[in-house]
Amino acid sequence: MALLTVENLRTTFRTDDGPVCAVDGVSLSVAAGQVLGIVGESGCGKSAMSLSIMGLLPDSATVEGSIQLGEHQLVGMPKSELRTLRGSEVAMIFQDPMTSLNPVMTIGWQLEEAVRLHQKVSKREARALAVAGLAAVGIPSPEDRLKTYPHELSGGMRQRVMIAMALLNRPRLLIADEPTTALDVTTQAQILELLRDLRSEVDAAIVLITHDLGVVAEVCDEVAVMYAGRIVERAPVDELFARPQHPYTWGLLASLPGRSRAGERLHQIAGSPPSLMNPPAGCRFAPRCAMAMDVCRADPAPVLASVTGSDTVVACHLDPATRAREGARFASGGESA
Amino acid sequence: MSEPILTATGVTIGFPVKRGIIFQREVARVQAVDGVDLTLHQGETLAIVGESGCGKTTLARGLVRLRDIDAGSIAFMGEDITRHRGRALNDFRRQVTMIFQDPIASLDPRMRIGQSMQEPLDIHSIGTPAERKHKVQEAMERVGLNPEHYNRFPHEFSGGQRQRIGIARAIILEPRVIVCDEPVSALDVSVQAQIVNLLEDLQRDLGLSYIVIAHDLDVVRRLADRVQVMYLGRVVEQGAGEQVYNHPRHPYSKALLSARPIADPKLARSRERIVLHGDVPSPSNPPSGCRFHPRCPVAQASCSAHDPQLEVAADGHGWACTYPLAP
Repeated sequence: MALLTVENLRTTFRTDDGPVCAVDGVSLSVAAGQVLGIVGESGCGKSAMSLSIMGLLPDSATVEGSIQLGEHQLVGMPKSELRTLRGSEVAMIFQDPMTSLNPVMTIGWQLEEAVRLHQKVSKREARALAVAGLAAVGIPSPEDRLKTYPHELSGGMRQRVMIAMALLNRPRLLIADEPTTALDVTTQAQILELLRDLRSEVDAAIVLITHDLGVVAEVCDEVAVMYAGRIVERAPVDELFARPQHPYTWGLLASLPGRSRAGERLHQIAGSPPSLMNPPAGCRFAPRCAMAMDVCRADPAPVLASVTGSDTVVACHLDPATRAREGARFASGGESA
Repeated sequence: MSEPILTATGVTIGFPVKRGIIFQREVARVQAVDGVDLTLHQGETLAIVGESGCGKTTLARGLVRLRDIDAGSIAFMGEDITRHRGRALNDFRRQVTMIFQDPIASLDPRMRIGQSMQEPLDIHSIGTPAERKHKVQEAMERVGLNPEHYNRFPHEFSGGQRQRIGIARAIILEPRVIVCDEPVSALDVSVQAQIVNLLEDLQRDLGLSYIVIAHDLDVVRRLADRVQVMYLGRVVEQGAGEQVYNHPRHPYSKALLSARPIADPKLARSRERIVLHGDVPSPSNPPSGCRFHPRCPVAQASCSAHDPQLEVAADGHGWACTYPLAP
């Protein structure tokens, strides 16, 4: 049973130059204890989607469709109700822990505030919960840490504090937006390990937003690839790397510098993503796709359809045999190839 | 091997630690870069990798003389440029230019990009105004920008295009060496590939030598002929890319390599991985003995007392470790 079910989500921003549809008909679901990865490049709408789920968008944005979290329908929910859900049922971790922590308040004050906003507990109990929270994310001597200010901590420590804060009220859904992008590789490895451990411990559903396919391979169970506001491919993680179906996914895989051989030119996707103000007709990837056919450049755009013999869904007009043949060239090596 | 073009010997760069509000006095110095040697050969790419705070950016700034160095010397084509000033320094800066990480922060938002790219020519008074404009447009074409966009402003470009502007500005003086500080880390993966290819093309066509500062080990693997791994201001391992990546001898190099996320779920689950615990210690108070020993997975008792020095073998592979890993 899925905990979060998003159906046909459309997020539109009103701008001076006309409406911009940042998320265009996205559907996905994630169950408790599962990690869903959302991959895509800047501007593909992945952050707009997570902010839609959190109800954190400015008033200039309209959200249509359905976001069902357990028994709650989040689209159209009054702000006051959303506010009680945020921080308790749904929590979010942002990319930059420095800008999301209050620089003039101690870590302890901020953690205790988060507890007391959502739970009726005494100051002493809130403090105990804060200490337990810091200990759970592997912060040494948590009691002393309560008195420190964010600037006294390293980037990795700050991100641990953010994760601890997000988990304080035992959320059922955790959205992590690029949680390791601002960190060093060694710290990233620590945080990813922490996320993997937490998934099994807290039994929450995690949506992990990232641009890094390496991070996806490390922690996700399922992956959705987004391009220009739409999901172009959704698959279990092993499937995605073993049998990638969409030409955009191939491009992403082939662009990884770790995959090319020396002397060989790095594969690049020609051009840059389209403007969402005036997206191309038909498949939005068609102008950059080496295999685009006439049908791809005309409406209606291809819709997500399942690939026979797997749990993958893909939105592409190419015939399955071509996709299987071409996709094999971009699959990860080893026994899965 | 070809001629060394840029060499640094025992470069040490410190930052003052100050106390007092009105009468600030220096109470200590933090050694951000501590006795680093480096040699860049004609036409090669040398990468410097390490975590944030290891001193790699400070070293890069020292190499292009954007920062004065406290000790050691830097030589460019055999000439000591450590104390150059005025015209001599300007001449050196024509030959050694820099590409920065954040193309937005390094471009003046109110200056047309043509102007930004032309500025180096103006400063060094090269050519007539018409020639300068022509040179800029040539450079734009070379880096894959449309020369007609000469009069546009930086905000009209995407991240990848802005990085191309930064590259055009770096090659406009026809330098011999470009120091690239995290040239692709602010870019999306598909754009990253475009910039990596562009850097490789320029190197081949213009005979450039690069020093690449990066924390992304996959990008480094791709670009670099040789690699130096830095930890807390010192080089802990150096060698050809193949040596360092396939046969790391220093435990820190091995840990860095194993921390990279692998874009292959099966491999990611099956490989053995060293997760380093704790953070990089503060350079103002480095650990005794080997600076890596508090985080080292294979540290022995003697490591807290003995400070190993970098020893380089005849094949160019060197490491600073008392108990190196098996090759």
